[in-house]
Amino acid sequence: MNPFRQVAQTFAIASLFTIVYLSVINLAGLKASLGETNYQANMIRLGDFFYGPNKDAVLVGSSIAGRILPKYFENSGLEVANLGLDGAVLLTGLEIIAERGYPTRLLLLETETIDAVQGPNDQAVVEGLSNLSFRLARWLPLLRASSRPSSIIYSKLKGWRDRSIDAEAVAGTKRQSIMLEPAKQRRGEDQVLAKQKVAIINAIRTAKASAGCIALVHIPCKGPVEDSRPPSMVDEIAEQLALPTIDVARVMASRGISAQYSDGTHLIEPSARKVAQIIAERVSKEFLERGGYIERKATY
Amino acid sequence: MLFTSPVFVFFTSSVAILYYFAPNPLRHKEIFQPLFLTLASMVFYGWHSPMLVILLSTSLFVNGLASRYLLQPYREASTRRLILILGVAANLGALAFFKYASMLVSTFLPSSWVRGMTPFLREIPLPVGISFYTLQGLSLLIDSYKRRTEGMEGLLNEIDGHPLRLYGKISFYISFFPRLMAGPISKAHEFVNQIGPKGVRDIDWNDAQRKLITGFFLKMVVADNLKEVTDAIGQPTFLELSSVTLLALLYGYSFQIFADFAGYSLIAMGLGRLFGYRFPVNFEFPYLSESLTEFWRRWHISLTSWLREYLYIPLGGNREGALRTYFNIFVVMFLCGLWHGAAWGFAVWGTAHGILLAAERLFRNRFGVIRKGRPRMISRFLRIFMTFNIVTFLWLPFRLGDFHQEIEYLRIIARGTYDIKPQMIFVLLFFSIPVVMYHIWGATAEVRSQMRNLAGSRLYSLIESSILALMLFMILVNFGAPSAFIYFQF
Repeated sequence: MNPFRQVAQTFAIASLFTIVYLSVINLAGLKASLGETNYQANMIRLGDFFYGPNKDAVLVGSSIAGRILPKYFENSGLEVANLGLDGAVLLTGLEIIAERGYPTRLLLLETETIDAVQGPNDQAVVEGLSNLSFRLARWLPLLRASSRPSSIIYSKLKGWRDRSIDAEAVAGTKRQSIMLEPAKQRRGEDQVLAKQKVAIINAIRTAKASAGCIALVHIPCKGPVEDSRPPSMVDEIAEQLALPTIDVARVMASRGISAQYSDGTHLIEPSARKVAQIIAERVSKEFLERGGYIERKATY
Repeated sequence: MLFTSPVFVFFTSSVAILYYFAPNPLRHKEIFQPLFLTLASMVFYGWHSPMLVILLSTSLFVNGLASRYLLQPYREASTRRLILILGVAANLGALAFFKYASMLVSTFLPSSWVRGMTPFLREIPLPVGISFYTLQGLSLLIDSYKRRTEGMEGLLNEIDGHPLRLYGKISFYISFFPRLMAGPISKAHEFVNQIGPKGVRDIDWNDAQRKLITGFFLKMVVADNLKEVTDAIGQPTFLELSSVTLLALLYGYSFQIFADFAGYSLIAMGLGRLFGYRFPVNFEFPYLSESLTEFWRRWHISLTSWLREYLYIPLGGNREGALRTYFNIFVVMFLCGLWHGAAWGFAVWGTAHGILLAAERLFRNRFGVIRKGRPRMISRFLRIFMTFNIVTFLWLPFRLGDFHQEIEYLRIIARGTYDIKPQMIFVLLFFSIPVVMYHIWGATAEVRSQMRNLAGSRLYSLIESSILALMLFMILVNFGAPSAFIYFQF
């Protein structure tokens, strides 16, 4: 037998699998919006962020912001790209935007990890951006993390599970979920916090150069919305840089809307959709569009 | 340079093209090719830290000189013994200094002394791959000392020839880059006779593709994805998790370490094939083992085979009574544990295996192997299940390294809490399935052989190609975050 016969056969069948898979995911519109690991979730967001169309606004932050998917803003009049990175902190997202550039009109900064220091996940995100496969994914959608079979299956299962949790909550049978505080663990001591504050302020100032407007967004996490408070550093930074704050948790509390979490920290899909609606609503109320740029309304 | 990095693909392709097709400046292919691959191995080894090349070159120089002397038939026995002792001491001395000095210093010296030392002595950097090429160097010296006629002809015939041929072969044997970092460990008498001129027709393409695709699949799709969640085994993350999750993570780690190391070994073997060489098999479906003794015949086979030949048998093996046999097993496994890493956690892991192996032998000697009358399938499954669980729980000291952390981990498991993190469980289940399937593939070898006869080789090759193609497709679309091989740290 020709020594190359089986090798050629293997490559031919693999090509066939690839073509069939590409056709199926394109025809069925299958695309992962969530990753089964922090790394994959971040690669999905970064792929969508850099290789998808530019949006009016960008939501930057940690996994808490990462659950507010762009599709939840559909029909709200506001197009939002998501740079909420799992296991990473706000500073990393801001640094990525500063380094790579992303022309946007409005930057929405999630406040939960504003005072959290960078860790190994932040490093992994930065390394992931420089991978050859990530760079090739610009031209080869098959290499994007959102095309991974495991991530597509996970996204589907997660969506199904979130909807069942919401149904239980509506029916009043939802069990109490465990409380996890991943961001708090990395919150630094006073000296570290002071450094962190300087770093965040500098990063926001740099981002201001390319973004039309910047706002801080407090998304509820951990427990009832009435008890959800942004970290204390938020007020100081908002005051120092004259940034508006959209307190989604407070709005939800005032309207009697509750939040449900999949693991005690991250919003399930129906709650994340409500948060997206409130963000879009507040943005249209507090900002106005003028000559292609979003500006803060003078009356705010 | 990681096997899974684009730069390695470029490096290997360039080396292979030059190896087979470059104009030969030395005229003799049998001299040029080993020397060229030795040079390429140096580039590979020193890619990230060129200083390492000095260490490897020293090892090649010392082992080359010593083995040449030992192979010469006219040397006196006493001088040969002295040269062997000096050669072995040089190899073990370098290993001890770079790998174990920091551990011994921090364990046995007062902390005030340790603080006074230079940072280099406190934390000597471990040269990657030193544990592996040291064992190959030792094998070369011992085999040369024994002047084995079988398997060493390739070197014995070069004694009176051009020194470049002999040194080229010796250097190539020790440094060949696919197995330089983490094996498989080839014994001198099993490898040196393969060294010779190679052409493209010497490549077994089918075997090479089988090994490379399976190896890359196990590493990039299985191990790299599992690693994303099994990293939670490290402190302090595991303290927050429930018993069920910790248990699941431990099983996940068991699958991950297999996929990582077996994947590496298969890639190394496949690369060896591309250059016309065969390495010893390193894994033979280890999680199908029915006992720990069998596990060590199927797991890291090249190491256990080395330890058996150069340590266990010289210690007396099983020829000097039961007590001495148990002692020998214990010593070999203790050293096997320490060989893996300069931390007492590895020694605990090796010792635990040693004790259990000795106990298993004692039990087998006293009570026989199998009680008759039981259904064979069920008892076999139970033994596989039990062995797998013992092996999996023994990965805990290997992974954590700290005794207090291990106790804490087991304490949380014993609590019996069952909150699960669905994301983790999904990853563990999804990416463990291929390892289970791989072992089922191993367990059904006889059935497959019958199928092959029934279906004919063409249909069978189509089925095999389809499986390989599926793995290739998964490598393309479902690879995990690139990470170093676990065994590179040893």
